[in-house]
Amino acid sequence: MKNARKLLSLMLAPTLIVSMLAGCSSSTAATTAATTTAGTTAAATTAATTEAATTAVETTAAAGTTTADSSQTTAAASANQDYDGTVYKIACDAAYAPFSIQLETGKTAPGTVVTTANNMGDYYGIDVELLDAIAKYEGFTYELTPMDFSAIIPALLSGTIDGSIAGMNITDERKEKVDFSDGYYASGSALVVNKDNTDITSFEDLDGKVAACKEGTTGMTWSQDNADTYGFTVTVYPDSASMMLAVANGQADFLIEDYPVISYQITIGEQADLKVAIDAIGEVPQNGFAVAKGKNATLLAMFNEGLAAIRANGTYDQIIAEYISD
Amino acid sequence: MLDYFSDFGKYLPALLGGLKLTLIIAVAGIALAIIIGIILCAFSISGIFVLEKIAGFYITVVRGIPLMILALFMYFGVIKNSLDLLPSAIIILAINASAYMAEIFRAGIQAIDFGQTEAARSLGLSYFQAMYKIILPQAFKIMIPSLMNQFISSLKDTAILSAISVNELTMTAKVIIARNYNAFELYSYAAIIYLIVIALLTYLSKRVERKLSYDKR
Repeated sequence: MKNARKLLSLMLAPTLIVSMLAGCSSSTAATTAATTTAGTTAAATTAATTEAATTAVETTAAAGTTTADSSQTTAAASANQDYDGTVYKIACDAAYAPFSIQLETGKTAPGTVVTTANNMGDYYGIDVELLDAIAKYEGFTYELTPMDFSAIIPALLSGTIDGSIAGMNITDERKEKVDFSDGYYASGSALVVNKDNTDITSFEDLDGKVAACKEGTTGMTWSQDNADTYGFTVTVYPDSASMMLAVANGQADFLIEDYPVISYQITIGEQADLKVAIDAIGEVPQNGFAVAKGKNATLLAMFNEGLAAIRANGTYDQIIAEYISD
Repeated sequence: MLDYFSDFGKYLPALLGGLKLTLIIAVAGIALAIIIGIILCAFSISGIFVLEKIAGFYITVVRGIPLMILALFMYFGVIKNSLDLLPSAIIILAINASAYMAEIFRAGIQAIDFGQTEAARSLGLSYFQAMYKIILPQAFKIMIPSLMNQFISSLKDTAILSAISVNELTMTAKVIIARNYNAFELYSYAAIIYLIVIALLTYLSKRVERKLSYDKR
């Protein structure tokens, strides 16, 4: 009996330890530090709290309105004559590199950084910079509110936000709910190969090759539909990381991925073993700035005019080049 | 309801293609695992300290790693493009199963009372003769249910190899679902196919067991 109890406690001890460790790992770094260094618990926690408080203050101070630089509004903008000084609430996607990316502490962004109005920290990315450049050109004021992509159209319809620039493809289905600006970015699929690959430059070169694709993506559908036409075989991976590894390792010859996404990863060196071989596959959808149907016509007109202007003066190309290199 | 069965017929060829790959990998993997398992078992009952430690280390490491991690690590980290997908899959499954195999063999052999070895040795049989003629025939009978268990378990584990793009039965179903979203139908078809194959295997192993248990009723 005594032995059995001993055995039980021996078995329980490691279980407890493991469960404690598991508990710790899910909490934030600050809390882990506080709990592990038992002796200095009080001090550590206080430090963490103070830090959090300072961050909050900073955010509040910096957050809110990003006032346009008036010196630049001298350009011949005409759509802004109806602008009544409203501070527009404009949404971007909470996380969709390279269109909107949250700035990690201690890192620097390649271009303009915008502080968000809803305590989401600082954001950068193609969408964020284009919006900022257009706002500066047109002279309107806005608050950037990153949100989950799926919440954006409902928020537009309910009037919580006035506009959105969220890497959103212009589709007929969405046009029933929202008004889109002119397309501000063509966001199609790219065919990506190993950086050492030289023999794939067109679809005809895919004969006898192996495609890697991610389960359930448009890339998978395209690969399966075209495998017989071009004579390649299809392998399916459950996630993007495995699919990209397969091509980097040479276990597959090519993959299909959203052009801006893969191109950005190559640009920042995350996928240094890959390169884009064909940059547009099939139909290429355009991304658009959206407002609720029939509302905020002034904002939409200013966006379109501003977009045309920054395209003309080179600001647009400059911003895109920060994230996507060909 | 009628659709359910007519769709089964429609997807059956694709699913059977997946099953074929599942069976090839399972059978070849287990065959290889048995070979590795025998060597490891020989190590661990050899009485030679270093060999025993090597076998113990291998078994601890392999049994302690989930097959998913082993597959991703071996395929993307070690094998890379030095081998095709199919041999890679077989080797990965074999490594995983070999540790269990070694333990099944060891347990079977050690289940035979050591007195029998002593008796055989005292009658003038060599160690290997005693092993071959007295111990192994009895041990084999004890091992059969566990071996069958391991085979069934490995057969189902092939589904995990879909992580490295092996287009076996589960993956075939998943890829079809990714296009038509019929999760209920396709997964149940796959489950039925697995069930039929494993029921057949179980029946077969019961027959073998009965054949060999002439001394018991």
